[in-house]
Amino acid sequence: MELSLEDLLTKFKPVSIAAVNQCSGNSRSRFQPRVAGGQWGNGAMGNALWTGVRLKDLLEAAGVKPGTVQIQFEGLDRGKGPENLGSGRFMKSLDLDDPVVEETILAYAMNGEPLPMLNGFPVRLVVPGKFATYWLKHVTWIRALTEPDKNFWMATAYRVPDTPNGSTTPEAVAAGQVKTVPIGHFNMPVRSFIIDPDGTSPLVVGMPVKIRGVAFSGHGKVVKVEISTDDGKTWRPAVLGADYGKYSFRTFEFTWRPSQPGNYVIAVRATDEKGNTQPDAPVWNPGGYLWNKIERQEVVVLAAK
Amino acid sequence: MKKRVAFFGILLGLGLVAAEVPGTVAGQWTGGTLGLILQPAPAAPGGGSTINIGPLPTYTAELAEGEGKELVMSYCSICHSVTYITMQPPLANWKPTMDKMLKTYGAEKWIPADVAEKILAYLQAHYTPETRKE
Ligand code: HEC
Repeated sequence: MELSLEDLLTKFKPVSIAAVNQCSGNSRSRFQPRVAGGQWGNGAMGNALWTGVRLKDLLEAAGVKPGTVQIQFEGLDRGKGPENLGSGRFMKSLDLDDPVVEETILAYAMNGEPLPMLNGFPVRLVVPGKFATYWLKHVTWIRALTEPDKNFWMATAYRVPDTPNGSTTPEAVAAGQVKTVPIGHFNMPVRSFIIDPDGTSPLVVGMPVKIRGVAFSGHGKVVKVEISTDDGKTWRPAVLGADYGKYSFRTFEFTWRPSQPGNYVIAVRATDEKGNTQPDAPVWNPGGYLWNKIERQEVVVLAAK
Repeated sequence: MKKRVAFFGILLGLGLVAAEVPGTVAGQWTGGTLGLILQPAPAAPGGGSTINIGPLPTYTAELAEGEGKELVMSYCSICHSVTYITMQPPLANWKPTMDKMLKTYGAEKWIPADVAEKILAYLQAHYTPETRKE
């Protein structure tokens, strides 16, 4: 079946979903020992309102034959490398029985406007709760596969250890003991980030300061965000902001009035509706994926002289 | 009119530099020209289907000066920008990365073996934990 952009705009019911698009390797620079790959801080993520066509509606219109196990996506962003290598073509596949297939959309608008080129114009995949590697841009081909996808970007790259949190050790990797699965087997773990204060200027004793930030989870709605001002020893609940949907950023705010001068460590911890809470332990895997340790921010509080 | 705006922009830039007073600390601002807005040509009505799809970034990282830099700039930007190099942690050994590019991604199609050796020497000379400057 072949569809034009106009067909997508006019023949299918539009749906909108707010969802976070996050790189598998967001925060990779935190890994110890360090791993190769882009040394991201926390910047490799974004949240937007995506509008488009349900993948399910497209599959229904096309008719998926029995025996299909995966749906494969390929876009126009080809590389200069040879066709048969990962540097030539970029493809990703979702298991047909993965619940995310129900929620996936082929988006043509971002925040109510046509997708910018860099965000995947004219249509991109939005796979709520999954990492960005599945959110293919410039989608041009959708294929039904009768066998699991063996292409480089599924079989070799973006693999994570088959452990509950995708963590392992350098020793286990060196010993060749680690069984891996595509990162799509995981939903993005729950995370939260302190945006304010950012430590660049001192706080003042007795003056209220708003601790603010965002939280999200690939497993569903964030239901609780807690703040610690003593490096994680004690926690108090923050006030949650508007709920734009279960895969969106959710803002939080907590007003703190430091009573003593000194150095403080603020920490933030989110919990989602499935009961997942951020751990205070790091993960480690060779790809530098799935980081979600509790974030901290050091601040200095000065006396009001 | 446009010229005049540019002129004020430059003056403002100078003003910021001159404002550095002994005993004060640097504030949180970035220098640059204010108020310079390029006017794009208005779209003409017609049968085309041109859609505004936003700007493309042109930024690539500035690599360390040294022998082999030009080779890296030309050969290692065939498939992607050289920013990938500066985005890495300082790697003690760049050989596995070079092999990945040459074999796994097929860069040997364009990069002759002797050039690859020079590129590796450059990376070891400027981008290891010991040699990386920034
Ligand atoms: C044939 C195409 C091609 C050429 C030529 C090429 N690369 Fe790459 N490079 C890739 C691909 C594909 C990736 C992976 C991108 C991704 O994972 O998203 C990559 C990624 C990288 C990375 C990121 C780390 C990693 O291991 O994935 C580094 C560093 C890098 N390249 C360095 C180089 C250097 C240095 C050269 C010059 C010798 C070079 N590349 C030439 C295709 C190429």
